[in-house]
Amino acid sequence: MRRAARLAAGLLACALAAAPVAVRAAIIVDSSDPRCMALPGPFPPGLDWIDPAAGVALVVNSENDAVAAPVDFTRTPPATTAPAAPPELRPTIAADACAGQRFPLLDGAHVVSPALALVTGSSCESVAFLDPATGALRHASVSTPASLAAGVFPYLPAPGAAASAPGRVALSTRMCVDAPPGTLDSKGAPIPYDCGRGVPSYYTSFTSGAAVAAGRLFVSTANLGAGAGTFDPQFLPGTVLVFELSEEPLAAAPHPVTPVIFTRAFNPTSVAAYTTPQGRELVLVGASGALGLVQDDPGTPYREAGGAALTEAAIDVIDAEQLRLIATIPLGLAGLAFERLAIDPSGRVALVGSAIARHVYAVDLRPLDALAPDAPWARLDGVDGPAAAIFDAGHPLVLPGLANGAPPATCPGYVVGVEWGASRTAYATDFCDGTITRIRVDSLAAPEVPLSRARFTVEGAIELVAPVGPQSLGKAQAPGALRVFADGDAERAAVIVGYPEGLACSVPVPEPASAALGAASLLALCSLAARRARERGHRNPKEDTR
Amino acid sequence: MRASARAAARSAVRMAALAAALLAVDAAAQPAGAEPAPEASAAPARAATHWRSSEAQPSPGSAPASATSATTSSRTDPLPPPPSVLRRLREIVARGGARPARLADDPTAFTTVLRAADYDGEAATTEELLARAPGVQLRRFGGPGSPTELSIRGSTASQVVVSFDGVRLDTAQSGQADPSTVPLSLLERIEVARGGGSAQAGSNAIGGVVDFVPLAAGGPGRTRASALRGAFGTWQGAVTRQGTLAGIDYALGWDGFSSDGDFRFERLPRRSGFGLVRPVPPSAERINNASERHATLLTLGRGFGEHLRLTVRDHVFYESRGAPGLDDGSNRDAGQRARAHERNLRHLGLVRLDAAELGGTPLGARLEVAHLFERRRFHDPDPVLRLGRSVDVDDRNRALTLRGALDADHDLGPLHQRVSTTLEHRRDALDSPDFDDPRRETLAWLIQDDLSLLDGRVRLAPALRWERTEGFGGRWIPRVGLLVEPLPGLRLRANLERAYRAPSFDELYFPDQGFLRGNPGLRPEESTDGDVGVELAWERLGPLSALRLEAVWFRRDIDESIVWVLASPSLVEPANTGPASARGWELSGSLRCFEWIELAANHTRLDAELDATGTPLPGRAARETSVRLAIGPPSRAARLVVERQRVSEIPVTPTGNTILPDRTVWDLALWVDLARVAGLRGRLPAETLRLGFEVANLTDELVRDAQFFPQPGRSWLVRLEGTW
Repeated sequence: MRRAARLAAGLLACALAAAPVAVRAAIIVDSSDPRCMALPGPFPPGLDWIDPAAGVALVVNSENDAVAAPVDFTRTPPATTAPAAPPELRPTIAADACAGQRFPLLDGAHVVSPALALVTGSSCESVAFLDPATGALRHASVSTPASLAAGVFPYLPAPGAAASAPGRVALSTRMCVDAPPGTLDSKGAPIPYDCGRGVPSYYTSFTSGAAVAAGRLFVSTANLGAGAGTFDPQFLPGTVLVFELSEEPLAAAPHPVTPVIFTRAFNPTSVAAYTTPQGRELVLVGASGALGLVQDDPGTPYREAGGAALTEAAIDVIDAEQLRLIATIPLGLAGLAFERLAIDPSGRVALVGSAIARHVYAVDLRPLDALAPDAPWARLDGVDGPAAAIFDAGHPLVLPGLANGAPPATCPGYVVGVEWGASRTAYATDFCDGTITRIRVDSLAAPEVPLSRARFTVEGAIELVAPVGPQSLGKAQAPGALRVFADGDAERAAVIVGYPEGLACSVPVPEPASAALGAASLLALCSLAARRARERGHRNPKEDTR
Repeated sequence: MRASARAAARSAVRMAALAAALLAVDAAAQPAGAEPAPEASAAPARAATHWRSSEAQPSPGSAPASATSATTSSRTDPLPPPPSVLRRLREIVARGGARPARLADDPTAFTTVLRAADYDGEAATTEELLARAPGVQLRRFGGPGSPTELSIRGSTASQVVVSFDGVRLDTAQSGQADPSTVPLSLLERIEVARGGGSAQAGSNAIGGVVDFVPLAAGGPGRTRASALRGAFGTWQGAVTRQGTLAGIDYALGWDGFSSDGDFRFERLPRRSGFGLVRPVPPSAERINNASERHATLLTLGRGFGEHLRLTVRDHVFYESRGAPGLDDGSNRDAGQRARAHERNLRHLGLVRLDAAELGGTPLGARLEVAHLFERRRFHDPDPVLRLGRSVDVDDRNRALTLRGALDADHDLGPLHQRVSTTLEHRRDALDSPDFDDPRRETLAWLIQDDLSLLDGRVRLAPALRWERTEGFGGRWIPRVGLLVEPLPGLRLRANLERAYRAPSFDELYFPDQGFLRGNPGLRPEESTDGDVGVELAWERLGPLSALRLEAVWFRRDIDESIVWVLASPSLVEPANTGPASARGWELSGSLRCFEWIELAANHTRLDAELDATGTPLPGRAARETSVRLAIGPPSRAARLVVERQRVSEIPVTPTGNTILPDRTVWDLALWVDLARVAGLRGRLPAETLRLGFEVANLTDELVRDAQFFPQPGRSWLVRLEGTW
């Protein structure tokens, strides 16, 4: 018996030793659309040009893997130009920006130069410094001026302390701000919080946008209070944080005198640098207004959903040199989308989409150039100051919906990205219908201010991906941000798509009348090709990563 | 060529040495000159001899036993040979009374029977057995003690009816039941009936029906106890006792399980257009994953006279477990939830009265009332990132079922017919602070026929059900099956049926939280199923015995599938979607060789896709293969079991473009019956005393059935089990 047991044990040991070594595998994320490259996760949040002439943009991915990489959109499908797979960013950002207490949800990207990109993050409120060519983090020298009180920036170095080497890869944008006297929250109630200052105060949150102007870094924070993700959340007054920024060597520090500027409208979600024709450096802040969610009304036959504008949206204008709010362009209950304003190459018109409807809003920037450098803050509404809004909530530029698009009551529209092309054309993506709509302006040099609405023509929609809804199960949906570039005599759009896989796509933007048929045929052919490929089973997700 | 010959030779030597070792153990276990114990000679025979011989002599008034697939054991019933009337009653009891809604009893259905006794000595679990059945896929969301989901022929989990002694365990709230919550120690067998079964089982039986048949009450007193110690701080113990006392048959049992569940796991890198991105951290430990489970069973049965039998059954399940959630983060714990916790309690009570030969007629009857209560509590005190608040859930589900059935059989010349009819009423109720206390009543009437010709060589089994579900009106659900046995050992089966699933309370009434909500406008899912197959069986073929082969082709067309879809930028809700289809093959076989080697294998090929796009339905593997090799003497003095399961890649998104890799998992088990070892025999106060050692996932394969729910790698356990 003992011999038999020893024999069995020995044989078992041999079997274990001879067992094949495990080959570690990988999750494969692929694209069945030949125009698109698959990204690691859904709903990629960031897209910005590194080199528009070369068609190379930085794409930021936040879900599953938080990474960023340069992508060449002149290729079909697009392909990354990074020399290696980008590194996961969250732990390093968290360590430097919030002492590892939380991890950032990456948001938008802003490419400052070929050597520097900024990526905002919320939860761990931060702006990260990246090398756009590789997607790797860069170290910056971060310090806090001695003029600021201790604890105002709880995750930055102590005021007056020398910056430590090798520096930090991210700048914390969590700041305790004192609410201006008499300010109320979005529900009209006094600010109920105190972040240890003994006065109504609160920590900034939901870092949303970054831009560089006049050698300074401006970072918007939406400051969502209680009830995030509910029908009627609380918003605290919006802020734009101001940092001194040096690109070479890379260094950042809060402005010693004006580290924060409060916006007039709630929920600032984007910032864009703008230089007037006279050379005044401004920062245009897109403030979406307080946004809630639409609740279904059981009394109607429709299934209502989507966003609801709770307070007025506006574009707040900051003088980047003087560091003060100089103007506000009210847009009504517009519910601005969260991409940065699209300013036409001539600098006349800024466009922005709506997060709650298939609308585009436009403002004429000429009145900003007319503001005196020392003029007090002005409300450019045509009453208290010159009018600047072209299309606002009361008079939106309505984009057409598809006849077979998303159910209008459930998904009434979400114009995520708007971008200018050449020849006075602009393009807007709609999350709900999966389209790119072309808008043409007949003149950007017309003398009337604001520019007449009649000069804008909606030329029709291109079906990029499927509309949101049960009829689109199994298909790519939800286009997001886009950029437009010249491709010979034509134009192409670099677009990111969100669901169910994130995609980076390069698509021509021809005339809409012929584009619909061509795109539909192409999609059908691509789907068939992809299905045949799957049936042949030539994909092999098993990787030996040893 | 030379290398493969050397490898084959090495395998042969290894096998011979193993056989020699086991022979030595067996020889040592037998006293010289002794006859093999009766139980040893009736070792599990996964053979068609069972169905062939059990049908050989149908007695008047009784119907042939169901012709199940060859994993049925021929182990004799513990009761002594009864007089003819009691035999009739036992058949009624064993086959579910006057044959109410049981797809597994339909002779034309493709059914797999998994007998617990066939896995004596092994630490098998219900979910492990189910995962190796043809046509069945299991999704695990962690290691032992973690939730699992069942799919049959590409169905969703809520398209499978899971029942305990014919009483549904799935609630109207979720529409699904976790099979891992029923411990194998309390069961006699598991019956898996594949294909649409709504005619017999009602709503949800689109993929099939899984019935857990509990330990039988009565017989000579028998006690079984087991204890297990395994990796990750796992302990399990079970005690069951069956017998008769003062004329009352009883079966009672307890099964307890606890585990720290703190296994280390590797996280899968992701390959996309960005290249191979490695997660940070690359591995982590499963935190907050301790679980504790307890299950009890009490069955009492008593005959009243020769024609009546009363059965009372009570089953309780309780679990308390951490809920670590997804590993989709980048902190040291990979984003797992540190304090989320859930507690679940389930109670099932059943009272059943069976009657045979009412008034001296060949009429049988059954009356049954069953109550299911389930409470699910979940609490996560830490704010959920995108929610900004904590989560607190306390749902209580109740279901009361009343069922009455009649059946009668008679002969009409060469035709033997058995007709049964069932009337069923069910009331489901959900009490929850998050819902508006929804209720649902279901009324159903079923009529089944079983026409038998040519001594059972041809059988036609039509069934028709009318069912009215509150809120969804009434519907007729037909089913027809055919069985033909042209030659001994050759059986052809074919079925065609309709099935449906009423939306669950979660799908209909989930509270509108802005980002997630139910859809009260949902329509039921509807399907048409068909399958055709051939079964071959030989009692003996040279050195092979109990040889069985089965090949089945199946197809399902389903419309109005309910899927949670993106409805707006900030909202996900369920919706009826377009048509989808699932088709494929199930190949299975088993044999014994020289009475020492038992081999069973099955392969399922599944093509499940959305008709509109051709994209594969997520969560289903296209191919799954299971092989089981057991080596040991017929006396069952010892066993070496090697199992291999291969699962192909699994798409996890509706486009089919995000894919989990394929894997091959090896398990190894070795046990010895100490009661048969020389020197111990006769000294141990036990009929059997099996000591076993097992290694699961021998090659430490990285296994995931879902993107963000890791499973443990290699693990071990030691088990001791005794019967007396």
